[in-house]
Amino acid sequence: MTNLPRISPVAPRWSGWPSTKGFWLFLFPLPLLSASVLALASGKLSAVLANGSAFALFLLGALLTRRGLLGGRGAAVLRYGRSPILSLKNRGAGVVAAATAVTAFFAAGHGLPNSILFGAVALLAFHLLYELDPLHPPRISPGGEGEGERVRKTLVEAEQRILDIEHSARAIGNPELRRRLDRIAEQGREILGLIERRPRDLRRARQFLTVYLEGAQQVSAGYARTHKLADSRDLEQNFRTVLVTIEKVFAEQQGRLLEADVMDLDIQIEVLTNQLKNEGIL
Amino acid sequence: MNQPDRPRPLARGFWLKALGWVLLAGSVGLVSCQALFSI
Repeated sequence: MTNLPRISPVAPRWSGWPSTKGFWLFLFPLPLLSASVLALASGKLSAVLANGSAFALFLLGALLTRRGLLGGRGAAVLRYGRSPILSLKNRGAGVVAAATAVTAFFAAGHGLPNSILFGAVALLAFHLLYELDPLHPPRISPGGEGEGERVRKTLVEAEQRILDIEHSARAIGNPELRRRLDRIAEQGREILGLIERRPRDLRRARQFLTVYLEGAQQVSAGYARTHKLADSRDLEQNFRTVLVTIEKVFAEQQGRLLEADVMDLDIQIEVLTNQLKNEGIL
Repeated sequence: MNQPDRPRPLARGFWLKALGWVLLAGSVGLVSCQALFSI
């Protein structure tokens, strides 16, 4: 194995309390559980069914929302690809709104219009708190015939690689390595954002997309698969070293694309200044 | 590389989140409690 420079690892730290995102959606419907139990004790079968089903619906909505908020492969909203119309978070929102309407109608005894209104208010509250995901991927302004579609396909593939990197990050126990991978994924997304804004940058970023991004995806997937099977400090250290290098490469690529932006702008300013001078305005 | 902070969208302000909490409690919380008290 090649002698790679040793990078001091950050000692694994406690990564903190579990996230409380979406937690309140589990708490607010708890009275329905009590209502089901009371109804059961009173022998009111229809009330048991109504309250129990409503509670189950709320649980489902809360679970979908929490998975959507915490991220994960199924939760990712594809920016460039054709993601499902409803992301996990949006589906959670729909189920919570439906559960509210169902509870209002069947369990709380409200009329149909009132129940629908309750559902709509719940949906609005959800949006204010958690922000519903967009339904359509953004348009990519084409540079020429078929160019937009070619750029979009490349961005879709690249985005899928970034999603794989994020997925691998979640499978890795070491919080430091996970943070590095998350940073790499974020950098990757920013680079794709730059290419989306200026599709002609695709040429400049080709090596990044075909070599470094794909390499990062393969290495992180491989490590996520094997690190639990073999407790190897050397493997961890080598992986850490590779991640540091990848972060540097990604940062350089981002810098190059931004520099190109600035250079283009410089040239445009110079051209305009010369024109104004020729016209005698400057 | 130092990245400038992205400006937060106004809609995610404190008061709107507070309104969201009030509406969530007023819809989900309220109907759940009403269901309990109607047993």
